[in-house]
Amino acid sequence: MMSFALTRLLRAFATLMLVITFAFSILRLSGDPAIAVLGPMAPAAALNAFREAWGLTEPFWVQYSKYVLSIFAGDFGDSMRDGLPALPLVLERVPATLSLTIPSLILTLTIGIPAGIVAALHRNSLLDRTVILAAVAGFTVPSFVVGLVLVLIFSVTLGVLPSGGQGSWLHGVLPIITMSTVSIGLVARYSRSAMLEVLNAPYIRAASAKGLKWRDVIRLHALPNAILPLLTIIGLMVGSLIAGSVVVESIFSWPGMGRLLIISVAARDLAVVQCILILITVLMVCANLTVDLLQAWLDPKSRNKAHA
Amino acid sequence: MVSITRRGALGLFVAGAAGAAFPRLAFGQDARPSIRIAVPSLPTRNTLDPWNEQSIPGSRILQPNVWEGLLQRNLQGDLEVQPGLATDWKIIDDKIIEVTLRQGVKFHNGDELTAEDVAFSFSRERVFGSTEPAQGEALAQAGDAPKALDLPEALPSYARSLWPSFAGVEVVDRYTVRLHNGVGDLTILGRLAAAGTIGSLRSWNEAGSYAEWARKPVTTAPYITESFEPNATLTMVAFDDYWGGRPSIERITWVEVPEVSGRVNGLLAGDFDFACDLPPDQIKVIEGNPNFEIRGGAVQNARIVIFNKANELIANPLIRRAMTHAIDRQAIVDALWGGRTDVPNGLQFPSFKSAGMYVDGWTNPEYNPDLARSLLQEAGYNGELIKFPISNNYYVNEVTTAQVMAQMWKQVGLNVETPFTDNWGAVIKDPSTGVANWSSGASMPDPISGMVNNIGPGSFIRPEVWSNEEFDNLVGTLETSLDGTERRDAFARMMDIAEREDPAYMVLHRNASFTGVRKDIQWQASPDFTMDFRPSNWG
Repeated sequence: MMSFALTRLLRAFATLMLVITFAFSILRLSGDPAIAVLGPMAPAAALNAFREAWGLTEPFWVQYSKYVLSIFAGDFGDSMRDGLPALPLVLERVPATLSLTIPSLILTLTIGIPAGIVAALHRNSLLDRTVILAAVAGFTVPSFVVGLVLVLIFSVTLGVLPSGGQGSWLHGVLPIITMSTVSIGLVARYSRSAMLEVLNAPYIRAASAKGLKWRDVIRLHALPNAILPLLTIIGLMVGSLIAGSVVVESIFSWPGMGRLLIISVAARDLAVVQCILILITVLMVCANLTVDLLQAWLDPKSRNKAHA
Repeated sequence: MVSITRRGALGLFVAGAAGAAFPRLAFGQDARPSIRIAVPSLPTRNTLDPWNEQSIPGSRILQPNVWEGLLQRNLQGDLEVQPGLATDWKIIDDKIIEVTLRQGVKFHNGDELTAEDVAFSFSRERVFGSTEPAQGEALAQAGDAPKALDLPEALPSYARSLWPSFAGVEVVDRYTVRLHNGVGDLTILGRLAAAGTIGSLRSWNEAGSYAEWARKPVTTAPYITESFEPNATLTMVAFDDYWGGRPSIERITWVEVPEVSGRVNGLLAGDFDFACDLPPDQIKVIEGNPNFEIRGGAVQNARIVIFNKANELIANPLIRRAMTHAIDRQAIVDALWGGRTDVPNGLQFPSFKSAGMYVDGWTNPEYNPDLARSLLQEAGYNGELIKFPISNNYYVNEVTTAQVMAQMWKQVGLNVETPFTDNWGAVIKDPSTGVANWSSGASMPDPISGMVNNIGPGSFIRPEVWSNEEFDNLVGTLETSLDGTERRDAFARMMDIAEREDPAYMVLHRNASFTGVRKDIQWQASPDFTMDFRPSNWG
C-alpha cells in the first residue's frame, strides 16, 4: 500500500510540474504581458518600465527558474494587474465558484444517477427513451445556449429570476441549472450504461436463480457494482469543482474562478493563472487519488490487480 | 400605488429575502434613485486611480464621478475646456500659469481643498516618481514631501507622457498655485482638463499602501466609493457636500457584464438601468422595446488601420496610398454602423475647434478604385499576399469591417488575408504583418494627445513600424511653439504626411459608444466614452 501511495504521489508531483511548465511557457511565449496589461497604445516608456519591474527582460530560463524556486518557497507571486499577492486574489474567488459548483454537483448526482438507473431498469420502454433523449439533449446543447434560453424565459419574459450577477440566492438559480444540465445528462447516460452492464452479469442471474426478490437483487447486487464505474466520473467532477465554468460564469457575470481565469489569461497574468492551475491540479490529483483508493477498497478485483 | 413584481412575489413566497434581488427599486428617504449600470469591464488594473487606469473602462467611470480636475471638459458640449476646481487662471509667462482655486470645496473626508492638495496631486510621490521633465528642471519640493507609497511601475511613465515637461507646483497661498512647465506649452489648459485630477493629501498620508488608497480615493467628486470588487461590482454613494450641488442619485452600482447578451438581457429584464458599449446590431433589439432607447453615438476616438513599413511590400508608399484610395469609408459606416457614426476629416475631432487646432477643408484620400489600380501598377505590385491580422472583435465590428475592407482591396487587385490573432498588439511589429487595426482618441482638444501619442516619437509603433523625419520635426513644433497658427499649420502638414504622402495610418470612421437606457431617465450621453452622473446631467 505504501509503494502504491508513493507512486501516486510522485505522479502527482510530475503532473504539477508539467502543468506549471506548460502554463509558464505558453503564457510567456504567446505574448508580451506588458502589452496585454497596459495595452498597445501605452507609451513605450511605460511598457519598458513594466517589463523591467516584472523581470520580463530577463532570459526565459532565468524567469522560469526564479518562478519555480519561488513557488517552492511558498511565494506564488503577485498579480501583474494590481501588484497584489496572487494567492489571496485566487482564494477569494473560491467561495463564489463553489456556491455554484457544489449545488450543481448535488443536483447532478441526485437527478442523474436515479434517472440513469430507472432508465436501465425499464430498458426500451417509453420512460427509458425519454430519459435517453433528455440526457442526450442535456449534454449536446452547449451551455451558453441553455443559459441564454433560460435568461430569455425566466428573466426577460417572465421576470421571475435575475439575469446575472451575484447577490441573493435567486441569482444562483439559473447558473446552477445551466451548469447542471450538461452534467446531469452525462451522469444519467453513464449510470444507465453501468447498470445495464451489471444487469447482464452472471452473478445477477445467479442471485435471481437462488430465489432473491428482484428488488433485493437490485439493492444488494446490482447497485453496489454499478456504482463502481461511476466513481471515476464523480471523482472528475469533484476535482473540477474549484475550476468553475468559464462559459457559465461569463454568461451570468458570476465573479468566480472561471471568470478570473479568462481575464488573467487574456492579460498574461502569469502568477494568477498559475495559482488557479495549481489549485485545480492539486484538487484533481487528490480527487483521483481518493477515487483510486476507494475503488481499491470497494472492489477486491482492482486491489488484486494492483498487487499483481 | 404599491406594485409587486413577479420576481418579488416569488422571492417573498420562497424566503422573504428577495429584497436584495432588486436594489434598483431602492429609494432613500428623500426619494433619490439608485441605479445599476452594466459595463463590459470595470477598471482593468483594479484601482480607481485615473493615472493608473489609462483605459476606456477607466475613462467611462472615474472622471468626473469619482475624480475631478482643476479644469474639466464640457461633457455636454464638444469637450471644450471649462473651469473645474479652479475658478480662474492667468498666464504669468510662457512657462508659468497661476491658478485660483474654488473656495469652500470639500473632500470626502471633510477637509477643505487647498493649494497643498494641488501640490501633492502633481508631486513625485503621487505621479512622477523618479522621472525628469523632458525640458527644464523639476521644481524643488517645498515643505514636507507626501508619504512615499508603492506607485505602480508604469504610472510615472504615463504621467510623463501626459506632462512631458511639467516641472512642479508652487504654492502661492491657501487658494493659489503656480504650475511650472519646463517649456512654453499652449496645450497646458487641455492637459489640466484631461489629466489634472486632485486628491486629498491627508488621505494619501494616512493610507497603508497605494492599492488601499487607490481603491477608495478621497476626492472632491460627487460620489464616494463605497465598495469595489474588481471584475465584479463597483458601488459609489452620493457625496452630499459636493460643491456642484447635492447629487441626484443616491447610489450607483457598476456591474461588470462581459457578454453583450448579458447586458442587453439584463437591461430588458429590469436588472439594469443602463447597458453600455452595445454593438450596432443590438440597437434594434433595444429600440424594439417601448421602455428603452439608445443614447450616444460618435465619440472622440477614431478607428484607424496602421501600416507596417517593416513589411517589404508596405514599405512602398505607392501601395499604402493605393490602399487608402480603395476603401469606401462611408459604405462601411452605412452598412455596419447603420449610419450612426461618421467619417472624420483626417485624425481630428470637433473639440479641436475650441482650441483653434481644427484644420478646415481637410479631406481624407478619396475613394477612387481607378486611382488605386494605377498606383498599384506604378508600384509594380503583382498580387503578393498582404497580412491583416485581426482579433475577435476587440473593436466593435472589427471582423466584419476587416472582411469588407479585404473585399474592397480585392476589387483593385490587392491580395489581403485576415488571419485571427489573440495578440494583435504585438503582431503589428512583425515584418510579416502589413496592416493592423488600431484606434486613436484625443483626451484633450489638441492633436498632441492623439496623433503624437499614437504615431509620434516615443509611441509604441516606433521605430520599426513607421517613422518620418519631417513629421518628427513638426512634432517638435507642435510641442514647443507658442504660435497657434504655426501649430495648426504644422498639424495640417503632419496629416498630409501621415495620411497622404507617406501613410502611417488610414482613418476609417469615428468610433461610437451606444448605451441602452430606460426611456424615463433624463440623462445625456457625452461625446466621449465618459458617463457623467453629476447633478447637472440628471433630471
